[in-house]
Amino acid sequence: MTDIKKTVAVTAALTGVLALGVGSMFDEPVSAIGKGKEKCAGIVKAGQNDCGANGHDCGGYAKVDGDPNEWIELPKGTCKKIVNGRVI
Amino acid sequence: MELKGLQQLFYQAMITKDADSIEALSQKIAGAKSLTPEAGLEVYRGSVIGGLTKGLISIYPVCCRLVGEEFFNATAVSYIHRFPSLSPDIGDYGAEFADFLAHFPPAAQLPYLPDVARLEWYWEQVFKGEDNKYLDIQALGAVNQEKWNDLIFSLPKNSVFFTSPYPIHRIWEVNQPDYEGSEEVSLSEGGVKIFLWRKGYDMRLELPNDEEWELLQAFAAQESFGNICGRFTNQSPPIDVPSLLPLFVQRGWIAGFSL
Repeated sequence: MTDIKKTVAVTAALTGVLALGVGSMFDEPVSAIGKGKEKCAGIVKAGQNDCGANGHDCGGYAKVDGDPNEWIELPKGTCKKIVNGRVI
Repeated sequence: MELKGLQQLFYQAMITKDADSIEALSQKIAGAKSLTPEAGLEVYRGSVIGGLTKGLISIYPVCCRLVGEEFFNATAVSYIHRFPSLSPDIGDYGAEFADFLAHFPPAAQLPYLPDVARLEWYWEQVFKGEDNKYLDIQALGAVNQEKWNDLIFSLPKNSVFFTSPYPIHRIWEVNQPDYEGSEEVSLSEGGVKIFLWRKGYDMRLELPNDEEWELLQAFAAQESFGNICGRFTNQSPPIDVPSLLPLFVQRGWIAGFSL
């Protein structure tokens, strides 16, 4: 029984990783905001922030809606059109 | 006198300002035109202490902000006396600062200060450290399924784990120059487990939950993947490794594997 559980777990885990595919796995480089993109802070729903930067936690760690220090990446020029949006 | 002896005498005279050493050294060095050897030594001392203090401030800006510059400078002088710089690279200086603070009575009122210092030191080391690698999924895909149990996954080499009984990540965060928002941190927020690493040019201060932490520790201990799965699926409560592993890979927490 134990071995079956273990084997199932190993297989499921590895299959899950391989299913990520080579292209999809890296959301990097997060620091290098894509061309035509900007970091927009102050408008992010809790848990929906983009990863990294801002000197602290990784993506999805924003605890409250609209935290002034959490950001998401948006097409350039979009942020200023959003209430409370602030380009950082 | 041998060079080594002369250097030790010079250091003793410069750092401790002990009268006998200064006298002994004065016999060995020629003073500048308008300065006595003692006054010249004082100038030198000022530069050394000033340079090392600046180095410490640049590595420990949050600690400096927490205690104020005056207190920090005085602390730095004590530290410099206790731990001379032994490397020609000033970037190497300051490794023992957190431990020093833990035993520095004037800072005892800030029990979290040593851990904040630890975080700042690790931050500096990871920032300067080598670039991390990413898992080669293609190579992983080429591993025969029969060998999957034997896989040993490795974490980013340039990374650090540490824990603190204090919410040092919050203390650190609210003391960043670009931080906006309430600067209030309650120590009752409790302790923290930190996984610090660098992804490309981005520093990552991650706060793994308990399950993620356990799995990270197992990878750090280079346990085989079969063992990890066996252990975690049979413990109570079990840890859902099949969900966590792809997540780790996506986050960049898995840097490679070996067999």
